Amino acid sequence: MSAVERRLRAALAARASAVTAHDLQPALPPTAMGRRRPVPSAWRIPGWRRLLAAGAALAVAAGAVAISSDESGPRRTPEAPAATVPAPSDRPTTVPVPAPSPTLTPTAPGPEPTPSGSQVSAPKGTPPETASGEVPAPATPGAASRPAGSPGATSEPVGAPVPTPPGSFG
Amino acid sequence: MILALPLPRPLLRWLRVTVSGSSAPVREPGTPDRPPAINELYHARRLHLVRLAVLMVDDLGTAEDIVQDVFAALYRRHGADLRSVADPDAYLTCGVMNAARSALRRRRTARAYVPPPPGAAPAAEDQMLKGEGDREVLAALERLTVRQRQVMVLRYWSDLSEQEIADVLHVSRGTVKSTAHRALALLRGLLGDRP
Repeated sequence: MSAVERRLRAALAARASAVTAHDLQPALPPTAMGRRRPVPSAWRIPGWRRLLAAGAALAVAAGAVAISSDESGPRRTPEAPAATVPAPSDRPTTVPVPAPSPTLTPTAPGPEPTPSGSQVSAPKGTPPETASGEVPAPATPGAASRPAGSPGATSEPVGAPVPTPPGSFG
Repeated sequence: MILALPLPRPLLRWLRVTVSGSSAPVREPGTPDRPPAINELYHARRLHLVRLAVLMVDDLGTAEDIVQDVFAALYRRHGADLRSVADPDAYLTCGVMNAARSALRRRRTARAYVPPPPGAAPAAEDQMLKGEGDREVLAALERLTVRQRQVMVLRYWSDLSEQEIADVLHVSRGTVKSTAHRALALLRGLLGDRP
């Protein structure tokens, strides 16, 4: 036995002898700590049956999850948007060109002013009569929707800038 | 309103033990006054096992917890009579070694995050050591790996043979031999191999 082994043996013995029975806590035998009783043999389930039962439980759980997801599926789909919301179109949106506002021409014969000062327009659907007797064409596309008999809708404003189409840019 | 369900007798007994929180010691049918075998083993081997655990973990409280847990595991697994255990002493030694190894691993992980304060005062057990040489040897023993320390303690304090150490640690005899050789070489380097 070498010197290291002797020193090691002596040191271990000294360290172990430093622990005495008085240093230990009061003994508590293992039978006083309780014990989990073994399962009775009648209740024991073999390994393959345990695996089979676990597989069946997993299958039932998966089926339940699938059924619940099917029932709650249509509820999660969003509803169709309301009819008032405009659908996005593929065509590029064009900025509407403001149409020149029609000006009143004093040459056109108009109705007699009312005593209150307000003008009475012709009834809708009755074409206004011009000097040549023809029905005037609308000056702008936007004016076509207006009543044809609106006063001063037949002539363009003098000196007003001519609107250019959006395609002329660049 | 009280519902009375017909339960099997083992379930009733288990419920009674669980609710009351106490279990009477299991005794042999023919020997009502004789204490269970595990209690005798506990009183006879507890101090030796605590000393073995102290040599591994260097802490009396941890060593006592280890021994208590090993006895509790033995009781839970094999009952009080220990008829199914071939060698209860070897079983307990193996359990103490495994638990000490786990405790050292947890401690090293904790020390990796929280280093010990410098200049800590030595424990009271250290003051009782005989000489400075013993403290030096024990400090060198702490620098070994857990497996090397197990082999050193089992060989030079428990006086186990290489085969018995191999059985306790669940390794081969050659592993025990090589581990002991490397551990002694390290200790010689650390201690300077002075007489």
